[in-house]
Amino acid sequence: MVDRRSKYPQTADPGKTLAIDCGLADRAAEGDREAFEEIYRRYVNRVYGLCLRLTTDVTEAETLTQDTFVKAWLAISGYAGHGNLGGWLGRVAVNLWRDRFRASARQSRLVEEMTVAQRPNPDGVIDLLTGMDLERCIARLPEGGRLVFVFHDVEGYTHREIADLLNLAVGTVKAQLHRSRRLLRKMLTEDKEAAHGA
Amino acid sequence: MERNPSQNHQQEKQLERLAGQMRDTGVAPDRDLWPDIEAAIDREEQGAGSRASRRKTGKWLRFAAMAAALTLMLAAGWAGIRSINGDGTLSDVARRIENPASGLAVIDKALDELTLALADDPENRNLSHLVLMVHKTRGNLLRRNSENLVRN
Repeated sequence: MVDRRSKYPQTADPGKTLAIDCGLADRAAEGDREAFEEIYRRYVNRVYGLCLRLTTDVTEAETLTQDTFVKAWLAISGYAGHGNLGGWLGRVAVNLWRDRFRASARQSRLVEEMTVAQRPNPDGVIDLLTGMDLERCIARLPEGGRLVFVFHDVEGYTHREIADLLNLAVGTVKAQLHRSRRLLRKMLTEDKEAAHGA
Repeated sequence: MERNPSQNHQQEKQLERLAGQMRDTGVAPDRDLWPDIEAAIDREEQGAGSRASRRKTGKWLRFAAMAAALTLMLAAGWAGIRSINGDGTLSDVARRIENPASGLAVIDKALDELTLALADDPENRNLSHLVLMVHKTRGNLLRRNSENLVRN
């Protein structure tokens, strides 16, 4: 059986990670397909996770992930070791998503959607707070709030960056973030209580 | 059930910590996406290859056109030098295009190649300039040939 894991496991040492990433990116920029596959193995979960949180659809997330890596292959010489490679790939994914998102004319609904009632929990019960629970709850957030939460709390974008990206006022971004966090806490608490009561 | 501010704060901190971890742990896709990515990269590179090939063809066309035009200009220049040396422009050119068909064929070949190159690179001002010059040369030669014929 072929081992699909990366030959270079992630390390806690940012310097070592950067050195490995730069080496792989340099080789990939010279056309080394194997080096680029290594980059894919190292960062596919990070990129796919981001794409899934942005789209909340498995097929769309797979397509966006594939397109991100194809675009990254074509643009890898522009990486040049600035910041971590995972972050750079994340930016490539967000730029691709943004172009499609703007083209789909869903942007105008971002503000109103915070008033829409939260979607039902497809799985019925959420257990104690784990990463997996949070993933499920994020997917249940209204679109505008979900995007702001993912960009700010997960990806580390600033309020200003999110405002520019989503074409919203900074104040709206802050308000959406506050409501998203409150909604998430409410969802997690209610589901936890329901699980205890069941 | 009411939660006190301390519990809310604690939960918010937990939320923040988990959200931060989510970025790096990510989510594994249900299937390996690499084969599709590799196939898409191959398609991109083939597309880029044919674009590069078209660019090469364009370069070749321009080179051929320039070479043809240069040959023509050198010939015209040679005729011009002869005329300055006092050999008589008309008789000299007339000798050069003793067979008008072959003289015109050289010019028309240069014009054909220049036109092709210009179609490939319509913004190229050097090519446009060369086309004008070759047309002018063609007109001059035809005029001189007809004057020569009238004299004879």
